[in-house]
Amino acid sequence: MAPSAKTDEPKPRQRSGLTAAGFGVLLQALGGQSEPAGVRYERLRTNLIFFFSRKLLSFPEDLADEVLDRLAKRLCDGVAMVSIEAFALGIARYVAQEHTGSKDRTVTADPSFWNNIPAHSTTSSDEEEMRQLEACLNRLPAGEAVLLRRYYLSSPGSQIKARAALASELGISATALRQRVFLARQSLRSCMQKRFP
Amino acid sequence: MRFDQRAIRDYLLGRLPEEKAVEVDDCLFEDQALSLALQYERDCLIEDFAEGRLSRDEEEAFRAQCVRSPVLQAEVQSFRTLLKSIRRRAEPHRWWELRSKWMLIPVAGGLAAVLATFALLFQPSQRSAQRHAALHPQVAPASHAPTPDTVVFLSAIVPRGSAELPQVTIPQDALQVDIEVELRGSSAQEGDWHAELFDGGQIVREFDHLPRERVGSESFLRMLVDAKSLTSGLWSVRFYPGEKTQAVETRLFRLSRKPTLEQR
Repeated sequence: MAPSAKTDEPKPRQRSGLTAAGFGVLLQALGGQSEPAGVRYERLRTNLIFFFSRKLLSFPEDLADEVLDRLAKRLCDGVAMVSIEAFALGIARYVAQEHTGSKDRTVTADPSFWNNIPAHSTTSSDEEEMRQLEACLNRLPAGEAVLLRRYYLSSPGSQIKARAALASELGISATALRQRVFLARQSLRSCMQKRFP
Repeated sequence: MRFDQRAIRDYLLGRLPEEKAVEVDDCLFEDQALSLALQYERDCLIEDFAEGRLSRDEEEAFRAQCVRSPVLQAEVQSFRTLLKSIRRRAEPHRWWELRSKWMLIPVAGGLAAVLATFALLFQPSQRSAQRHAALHPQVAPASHAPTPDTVVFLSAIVPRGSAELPQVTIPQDALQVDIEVELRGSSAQEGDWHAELFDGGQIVREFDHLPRERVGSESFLRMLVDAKSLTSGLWSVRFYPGEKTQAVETRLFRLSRKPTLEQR
């Protein structure tokens, strides 16, 4: 029985700036505390995306990766850091200044995206994603899968009442119910990322 | 938390005044709880957008965020697919089955608790310390053996869906923790198991080919975990026999680290 630390080894994303060695140095720097390096890496990247999104910059995910590239390079250069997260924030502020012009850049979106009404017909890619989602829903703990179904099944007209009834049945507040749904969605997302990267 | 839900939502939508937003930036990179709160609120925004619950201003700001981020667009689409998938599967007879099972969970949990209490009273177990640890808000008992130095026993009788999750406290100076998950029912006879350890929604460790352990009449799985990786928060163990992924079970617990006498 050999336990494997999955999240200790996130794959470097396809980008030119980060070498495998740089990524290794970054992970090493993020490790050694009370949690796996991979978890800390993902949280740092998520926080960077939040930062660039709130700055109203385009392609926040790419900018977050840019920061991580530069951070790895600094570590490879032997720069001492008291707090990696604080150092990353400093780089992020610098990158944000460099990209202020990208506020005007936009991504094209399929016009149907804005209709905000799920189409009745499904495309083959929809079908594929639904198949994957269903596989993951089947792998979720029964309680989480049932919770998601019950939470999202109610029709828009009766949603508030149905969710209040569900919270009451479980003996928790509406906020706690929503938090549980959030955790269940995180489990689902984690399964999707793991099984269908 | 220093920032309320309104401030967090405005931050995500890029509508928080710069001075306040800088405060959030500074905290965000140091405070895991704030990071999780933002992730939670982002999920709520996606859900509210897809279900048409955003105010006009919020919707406008959210659409602007979508325009800048193909990843956010993909997340919205993914959520819509989830809704479609759930609604497609919702046939009346299946719905009733699910509802029945759901309602049975607390009843079954209560029944199991009564039975286990009798078992504890009349048949002293060889593992009573561990049972006690599972039944009560606990400081996990530490053995004198060098490894593992802490045992966490997750009983099968914890009612799933209960508002109160088991509390597990691990000494701050623990080195290796033996997490044991009690097996119940027909699947307890299986010899080959797969288990996954989750920190919140994030998978932290996987264990392949775990053997079923037995002490007396009890069957359980044993996972040795480096105590350093166990941080305070919501944890869960998901486990199933071999490839039988339809028989997945999960035990949730809240974990906290207990300071040593020197640290107090």
